[in-house]
Amino acid sequence: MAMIEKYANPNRFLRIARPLIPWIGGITLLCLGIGLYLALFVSPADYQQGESVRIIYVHVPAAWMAMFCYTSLVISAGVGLIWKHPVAEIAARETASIGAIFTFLALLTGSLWGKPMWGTWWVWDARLTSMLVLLFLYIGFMALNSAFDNAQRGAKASAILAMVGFINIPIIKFSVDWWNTLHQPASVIRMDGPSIHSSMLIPLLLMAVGYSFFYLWVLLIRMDSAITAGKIRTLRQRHAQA
Amino acid sequence: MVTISSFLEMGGYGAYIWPCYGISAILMIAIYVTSVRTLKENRAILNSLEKDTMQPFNPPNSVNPEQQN
Amino acid sequence: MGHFIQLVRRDLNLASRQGFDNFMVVAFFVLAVVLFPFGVGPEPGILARISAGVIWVAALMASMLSLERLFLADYEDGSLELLVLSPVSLEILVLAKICVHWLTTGLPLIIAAPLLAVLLNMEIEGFGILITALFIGTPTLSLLGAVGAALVLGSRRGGVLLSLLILPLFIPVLIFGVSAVDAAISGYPMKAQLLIMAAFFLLALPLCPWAAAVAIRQSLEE
Repeated sequence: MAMIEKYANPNRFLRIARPLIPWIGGITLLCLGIGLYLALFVSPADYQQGESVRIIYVHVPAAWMAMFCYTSLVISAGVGLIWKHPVAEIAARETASIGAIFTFLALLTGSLWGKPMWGTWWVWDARLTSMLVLLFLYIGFMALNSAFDNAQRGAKASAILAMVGFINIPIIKFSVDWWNTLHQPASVIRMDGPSIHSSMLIPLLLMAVGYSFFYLWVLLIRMDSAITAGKIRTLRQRHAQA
Repeated sequence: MVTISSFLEMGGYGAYIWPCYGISAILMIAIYVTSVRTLKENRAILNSLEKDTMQPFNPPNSVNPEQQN
Repeated sequence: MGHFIQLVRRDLNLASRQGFDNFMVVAFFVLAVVLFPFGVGPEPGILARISAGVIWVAALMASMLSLERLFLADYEDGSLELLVLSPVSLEILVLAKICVHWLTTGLPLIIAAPLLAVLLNMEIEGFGILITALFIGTPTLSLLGAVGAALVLGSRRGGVLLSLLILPLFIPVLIFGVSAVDAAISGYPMKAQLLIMAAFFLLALPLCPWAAAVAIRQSLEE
């Protein structure tokens, strides 16, 4: 509680965030660099899917980030709504744009992977369909966020929508799985440990860490930018009043 | 040692793999570049506005001007 | 409870004065379904195969149509502010509004549905279950829609925005509604689908009026 309030001041937030940005950028580039090298040169081709399995290293991290970003969007929107926390409201709005891009990338790479695997660009596979619905949830959030002349109202209304959407996600997921029983079981996060070989798992995890730090990197830059824009608006208003 | 052309071919799947990596890279670089550019623009505007008022501006606890209405 | 019935009666009265508006929703529903044979061809086999899905999708769209007006008239003329200030809890008032929406939209759709099922050549085994499924499913649509209608109050381009927000949330109802009818037609048990839809309804019944009330309060804050 006290910690949440501590970072509600945008200036204090920026004082802490700004020095971190280059470090986060460095970690992002390092992880993605090593991850890409391992993914493209070192990791073996799959005995069934051949070289096309290399798409996993950009598809799966994007899909994970799509879900991770929605979770962090709901948490920031909730904090913003309950504690009237301006920094959290900005975090929710900026997370939405980044998350929507990851969702789009997951759909696109999934479709490009599907062409050699299933022989068609799009199948109504349970996971692709859930991703598509998630993309609509992101678009709805962004549309509602920017639909009001008063930015404050947009932040509140879209925060409520994000939470309604979050309660609905398991229900939608369950319905889509029911509707499409052709669904393959998720193979990395399992109770009995990962089932894919470490020569693939290490680049996959490196890429996932790289994507996560990329999100953090861009998020902090965008939040800095949004806070600066807020100061500009306030200053201009004062000029107009003076 | 693999040759460049066989590497690009990716066992016949190059046409699917490279667009995946390429579009992912393009979109991620694009969102990074536009974010940094807006940040620089906003900072420049804020600096020139602060120069006009001759004092740095630190609002107490607010970001959106609407909040104060 | 007395207030609840009073409010339902007030809104039903208001709705009956705009009798033609309610008729238009049903007309849209019928017209949307009738367009399908022109689109996919008049072959009875194909129409029977897609009938349940077409009727359900058209029902979603039709109930979407009248949602925008759910709170808007009261918001614009200021009576929503008075209702918020009244001693009755806002959640109950929202629930009354949702009831009226279902009575003026969901119920007419259910009455029109068998006629459309005939037009689309649906197997006779599906009729009863189609109506049962609509009875369980359409109240959930009204409940979810009320949250969306409350969220877009005072926004620019409310109507299109509302459908963008709410249609993804309608997907589970659509999936199980259609699946129940298809199961009944092919002679499989469909109790599970109906029970799941009932669970959706029971989940939405307390949560949606609450979320809509929160949204209405924040829309009136300024």
